[in-house]
Formats: sequence, structure tokens, C-alpha cells
Amino acid sequence: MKFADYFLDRIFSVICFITAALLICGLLWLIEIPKIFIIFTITVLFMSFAISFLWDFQRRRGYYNQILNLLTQLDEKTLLSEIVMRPNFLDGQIISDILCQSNKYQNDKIAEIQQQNREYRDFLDTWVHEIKTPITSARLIAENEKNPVTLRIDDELRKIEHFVDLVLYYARSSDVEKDFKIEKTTVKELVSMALKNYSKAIIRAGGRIKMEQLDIPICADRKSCAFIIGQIISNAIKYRQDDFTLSFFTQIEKNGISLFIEDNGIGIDAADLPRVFTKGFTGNNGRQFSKSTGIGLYLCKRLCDKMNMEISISSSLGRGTTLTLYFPAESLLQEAGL
Amino acid sequence: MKIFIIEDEYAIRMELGQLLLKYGYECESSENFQNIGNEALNSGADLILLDINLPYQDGFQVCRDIRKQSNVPIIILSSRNTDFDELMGLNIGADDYISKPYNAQVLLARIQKILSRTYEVQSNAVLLHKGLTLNLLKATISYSGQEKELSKNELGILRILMVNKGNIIPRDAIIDELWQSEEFIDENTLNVNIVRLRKKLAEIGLPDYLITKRGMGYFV
Repeated sequence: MKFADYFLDRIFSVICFITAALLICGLLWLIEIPKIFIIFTITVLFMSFAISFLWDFQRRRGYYNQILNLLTQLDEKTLLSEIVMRPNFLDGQIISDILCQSNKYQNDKIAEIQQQNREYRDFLDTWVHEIKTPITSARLIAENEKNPVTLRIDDELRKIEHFVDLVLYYARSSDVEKDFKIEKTTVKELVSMALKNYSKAIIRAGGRIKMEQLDIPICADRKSCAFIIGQIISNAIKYRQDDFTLSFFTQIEKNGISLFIEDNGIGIDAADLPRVFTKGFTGNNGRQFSKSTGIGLYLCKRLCDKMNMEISISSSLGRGTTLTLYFPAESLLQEAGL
Repeated sequence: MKIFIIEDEYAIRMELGQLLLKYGYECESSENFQNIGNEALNSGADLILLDINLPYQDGFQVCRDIRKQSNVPIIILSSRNTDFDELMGLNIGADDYISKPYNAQVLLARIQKILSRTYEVQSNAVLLHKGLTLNLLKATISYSGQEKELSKNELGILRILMVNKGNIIPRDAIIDELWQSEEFIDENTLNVNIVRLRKKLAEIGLPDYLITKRGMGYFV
């Protein structure tokens, strides 16, 4: 609280005081009181007003500065009224009581929503595990009775599996407590895991796979990385052109390793490129291919952020798209506490 | 080789049993979940497949109980696929952990690996159909006394066809089966392997064993 602001706020009482002082001054002068008494009276009046004015300013400033300080230090701003002291002036007390009540209401609401959110997530978690049992039995049934019909059903079951995975990783990406299991693996292993999941679709598309220099040991969460690569592969399959080729190659960077995933598909419009990692964004390609959800790359980005990895994209329309995954070197991962 | 399946879901138990039977394993299971650990041990199984979510007690407890009495290999098959569950399973003595939904070929490969490591010899990895014997371990075919060695891909092709005898298997399913992590198999590789396999079959006296169904796939 600045003095000037406080002064302006109290300008009415200041004007009143000055008017009153001038009037008294005039009156005393009219009845011919000696000057010395007039000055004395004015000084007394002025002093008493100034002291009360400054005292009030001081206690208000002390109180409000304390609150503002607390507010900047506090992580959970809505808990402010719980820790701040009750002021010793009336209007402050009233505001503080109001703040207390409204904060309490807010906190209750937040707790309620958090509880709902947790229950919902728990349910989702259980559901994902439940749904896996029938998928497993259905896939086993197909495996036991392989013929063109059951194999087609098996293809559809794989799609269901991928959608279930999407739910699982979506929940995982927004879960603050979820930690990742970082273990030693190789880039090749991650790529192979992801490719195997989409093998049928790649075979159907008549795709060719090129892999170069992938025998590089890294530390990463295998399942999540395979999921990310899988999403990229699935996009490459979705937006392919004739003679579909998918290349994987790496490049050693200063503090890590970059994995390039390059396809020769339809590419992405330059105008759409900056927004492909945004949730729900489908862009020009999304409008032409109705199956786009705008969630796959968003999830990849979220997971990469969580795992201290980087993902970037470049593309030329009609020629293809390259996704780059950047894995920080082993030491960097340890520093980040992952 | 006998495998005991501990799984409360009826459909999975049955289908898993059938699958293992097809690949030459003997199977047993039980619904007495109160005492499932002992049931498994008393069956004299060579390997136990264990689910985690079970009635009465969870799979971890069953695993501990079994470990107290025996060193029989245990593979945990679970839909609980958090890292914690996996660590827990391996810490209390399970030999492997596979999360649902699993790829049947991966499961079979892991079973085979653990069995061959534990017991060294494997007696019955043999498929028989229309007089042709396919030895999965030695990768050989034999018919009326003649024997031929197969390459890895030829073995894979013949195995999927013989396991699903009489059913037409589309080409993409065969490619998918052959494509186990390392190398990407394309159409041409499959063509070459089919020709080679036909030649080998003809050499031991079975020229029309592998039949092409135009536009659909192959069957034996």
C-alpha cells in the first residue's frame, strides 16, 4: 500500500479537515485572537489529524503487506484465509470474515472435485484392467481357431487393444504421482516393440521398414516409449501414400540421442504444423480422414514432457513427415530424478 | 510336459488349455481356489501359469505358498500391468511376468524358453499331420523315413499351417507370425520361403502337401 494511494482514498476527510481548520482560523481571526494562539490551535488540530491519519495508514499497510507477501509465497492460494491473522480494524475484519467464508467454500468445492476425479480415475483404471480379460480370451479363441474370419476378428481386437492403451496412457499422462520405470534398453528394442504392435497393419499397407544404426543403449521407460513410437507409426500408416516406406535412424547429439522416424506419406500443411501437438487438433489432414481424433500426438507430447524427452516434427506437404524423439543421455535422466 | 493353469476366468482357462494342447503340452487346471497352490503342486506340473486376481487369495500369495514347497517354474499372467506388480511378482519368486493381453506366440516362446532352461530336454515338441512329422526343436520334417532340415522361416510357415491344420491361413497372417521382432519379412521373402518349403516337401515325397487357395492363403 502506497501513501499516495491511501491519501487519495482519504481525500474527502482531508478536504473536510482543511475546510474546518480554515473556518476556525477565520473565526479566531475575526474575533481578534492574537496570532500566536491561532497558530497554536491550528498546529494542535493539524498534529492530531496527522497522527491519527498516519497511525491508521501504518496499521493498514502492515496488515495488507503481510497478506500480499503471504499470497506470493503460498502455493495453494485458496488457503490464504487459513493462515492470515485477523486484523484489528473494522472494515478489515469484515473483509477477512467474508474471505474466510468464501475460501472455505472454494476449498470444499476443490476437495469435492478432486475426490470425484480420483474416483473416476480409479474406476477407469479398474475398467482398463477388466476389459483386458475379455480381450485376452477373445484373442486366444482366435489364436486357437485361425481361419480368415477369426483372423479378421483378431485384427479388430488389436484395434480395441490400441484404444484401450490410449485410455491407459491418457490417464497416466495426467497423473501427477505416476512415475516411470526407467531401465536399460536399446533404441532398436523400443522400435521393434512398437512395430510388432502394428505389424498386421503395416503388412496390409504393403509397407517397407528401414532401420539404421539403432543398436544404441539408452535408459527409458520401455512401455511408454513403445507407445509413443507406436502412435507415430499408426499415424504414418493412416496418412500413407503409394509405396509406403517407414525409416528409423538415429543421430548422436551433444547430450543425447535423436531418433528420427521418417515416412513418405501425404505430409502436413505448414500452417498446421505448429499445432499438431495440441489436444483435439486435427488440421487439414484430419478433415480429409475422418478417423483423426487429435489425441495421439498430444499424448506423445505429454508423455515426452513427463519423461524429460523431446518430440518435434517436420514435414513437407505431399512428400512425407519426420518425427524426432530426443532421448537425453543417461546422466541427464538421473539428474532429473527419474 | 505338463502345465497347470491358475486362472479364474473360465473362457481364458479353456482357450489357454486348448492352445497349449495344440502345441503339444499337457494341461490341467482347477476351480478349487481356496487350495489352489496345493492342487497345482499335487498335479505334478512342470510349469505353472498364474493369474493375479483370484478369488480367496491373490496370485502373489499363491506364488509365495508354492515357492515355500517347490522350485517349479511360475509365469505370472496378469492384467495388472503396473511396474509395481511386475516387480512384486518377480521378487517373490516368479520366473517371468507377462501382462494381458498377451501375444500367444510370445507366451509360447517364453514357456518354451523356461522349460528348456529348467529341464534341459524337451520330449514332445512334435507336430503330426497327414503322416508328416514336424520336429519344432530340431527344425526338421520327416515323412516315411526321410528327413529334411528347415530354415527358421520355413519352420515358422509350416508350424502355423500344421497347428491350424485344415484352415486357410491368409498370407498376411503368415508374414505376421514370421515377423518376430528382429527382421521385417516382406511379400517376396514369403514367396521365396514357400517355394523352398514346397521343394523340400516334394523331395521327401509330399509334392502337394502345401496347398494354395488363390486369393485367400495357404493350408495343409
